[in-house]
Amino acid sequence: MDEALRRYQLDIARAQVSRRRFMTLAALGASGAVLAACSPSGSNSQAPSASAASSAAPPSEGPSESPSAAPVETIGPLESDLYMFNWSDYFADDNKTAFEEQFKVPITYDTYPSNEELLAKLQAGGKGQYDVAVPTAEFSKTLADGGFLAKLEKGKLPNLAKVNQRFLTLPFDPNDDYIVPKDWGTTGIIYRGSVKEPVTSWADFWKLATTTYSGKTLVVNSPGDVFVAPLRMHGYDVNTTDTAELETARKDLLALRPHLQSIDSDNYPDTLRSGDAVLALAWNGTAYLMQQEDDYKDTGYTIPTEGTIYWVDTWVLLDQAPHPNAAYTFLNWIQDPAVQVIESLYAGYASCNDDAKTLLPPEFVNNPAVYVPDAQLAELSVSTDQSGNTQRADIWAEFLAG
Amino acid sequence: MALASAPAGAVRSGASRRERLLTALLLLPAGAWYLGLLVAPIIIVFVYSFGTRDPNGGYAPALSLDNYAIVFQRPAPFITSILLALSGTALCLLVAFPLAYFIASRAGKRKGLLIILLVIPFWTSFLIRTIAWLTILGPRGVSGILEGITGRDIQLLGTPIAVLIGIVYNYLPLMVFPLYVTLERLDRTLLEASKDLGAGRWATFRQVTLPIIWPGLITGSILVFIPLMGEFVIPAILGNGKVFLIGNVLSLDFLSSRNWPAGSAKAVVLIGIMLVSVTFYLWITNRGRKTRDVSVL
Repeated sequence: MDEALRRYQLDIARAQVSRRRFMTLAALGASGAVLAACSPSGSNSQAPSASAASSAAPPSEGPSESPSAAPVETIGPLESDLYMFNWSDYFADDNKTAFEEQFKVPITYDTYPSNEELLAKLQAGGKGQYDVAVPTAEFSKTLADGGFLAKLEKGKLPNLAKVNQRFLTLPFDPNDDYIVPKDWGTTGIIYRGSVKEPVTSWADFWKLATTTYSGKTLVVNSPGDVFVAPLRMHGYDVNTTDTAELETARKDLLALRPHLQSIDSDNYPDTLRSGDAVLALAWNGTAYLMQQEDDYKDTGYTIPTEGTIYWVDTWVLLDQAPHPNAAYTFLNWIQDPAVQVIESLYAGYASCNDDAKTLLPPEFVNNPAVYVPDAQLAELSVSTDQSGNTQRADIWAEFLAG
Repeated sequence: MALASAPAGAVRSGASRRERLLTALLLLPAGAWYLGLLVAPIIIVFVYSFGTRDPNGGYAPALSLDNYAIVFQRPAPFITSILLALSGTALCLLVAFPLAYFIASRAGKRKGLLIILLVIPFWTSFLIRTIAWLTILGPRGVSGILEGITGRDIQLLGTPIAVLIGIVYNYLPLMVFPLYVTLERLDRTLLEASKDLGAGRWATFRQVTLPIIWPGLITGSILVFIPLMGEFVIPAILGNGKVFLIGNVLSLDFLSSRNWPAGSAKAVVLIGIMLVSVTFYLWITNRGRKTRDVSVL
């Protein structure tokens, strides 16, 4: 199975995956779970009932394994459509095909480029037009407070029990009323192979950025991520609102500013590829993607020893969803470990699902650019939405102005 | 359009009333446009600027001047914007004037072709043209050549120079066309008369050409200066996120911090700066013109 998955992963990296390739993989029959994910649900295609939904769980899963707290509820007859609102290229084509074949529910995939635009679309009469969407976890609170999300009936989502506790009861959704974790990752340090100096901490990053790699360092244009580095270097909480602590961060940031090649979230992977910058405060996914390319195999990614933040992207059920039953079926099905494996390899991000982690190839799971090593898990914290903090906003504006 | 009804205003009759009705009808679309899409939004922005940020982002009613206080605590983006807009306008003028002069007076039969050549690049999307400058100015372009010559690490991208180049490139036609139109209408016999009366090239330019093309110069400068003050895309692309103008501050306030009142206050200050600077510009140029008229006499 590893061999097959490895090949699949390679294909993904080369963007050459076809549906046929996936079917070949499934036909290898290496994993019963993979098979279960793409096998037809049975003859009842017009109105599959809850049994169809729960049959998505692989047969190997015994009922005794981590039962959900809520009693399992049945999902009503499936509607004929599912409207998904998502980031571009953030749902595996093979999973889309598998879901459509299994449940006979075609998925319509619309995209948005940022959380803010998702919100704007929903505010501008988008309510009732989509079933599921994918906000970043901290943004789901804004959406929930705005009344755009439907409270989940957890009895319809038995597969939620497979999700690691780390990604549940997050501060943005303490009762798990709204979110189904999708995948997760970290903010850390990406460095090109040419960087021979040790890079293990934010302090290393700061030192190298202001000396050897002055003018060759970039940071993403995202205050929530960039603030983490100076705050953790001084041992402060990443979500601090303390005036003095933020002032310390401000001094550090302004000292770093003249050494930066760019402050940019859109083009930075290309900036790193071209070598204009060799050191970056950025997201793990970019490092993973670069490692899949022949020219950039030696790209490194560090989770700094002082600690950093992790982000979680989440599936949510939208308020007034036109196809709630199809949506519930989907939200439960997507947490199936086999589905998660394909999802994870497609996006290059870690799955929030523990069962999926055991099915993924070891070099994927052991790559710090994908999964955080167990030893460093304790160093992670989750960031809350700080966009309302005027001191941070002011420091960030000053930082950008230079 | 107001002028059209003016002659009829002398005779108060049924015909004039009908004419006024017609005028009102003709003004209706434009009037509704200005009221609904210019006046009303400006009033909303003005009201919002005294509010406070809703805990979830957006606007919550309040009556405070805090948002304005922040503007004056951090004037850097405003100063950068004004400097860049002024130098951008001046550079556009420097490049556009010889070009417009050449097309209007020396191009002969090729005039039409040159005008078309000037317009053709604008058939391509503004974004693509600006992103193309990333390659031209990047390490595999001008920066690399300069590095090869000087032997030093030269980065153009991420500097105000790169942004200025992008600005001049994109805004040039806005300056060329008004100048071209006035130069085109320039009566060559006036120049000959000036020469006959003993004026040198410089005196002719200053006392004959310049006063005639003055309206085109003012129009061009305003056309370039005003949108430049709100420019947001060019610094975002060519500035590597390091050239921070008012437009970028506004997008940060409205989209990232979702602090609409803070953004509104900055927008109001920006409108104020524009009103004052354009009024001042028109005043000083018109005043200059009157005195010149007198001196010519």
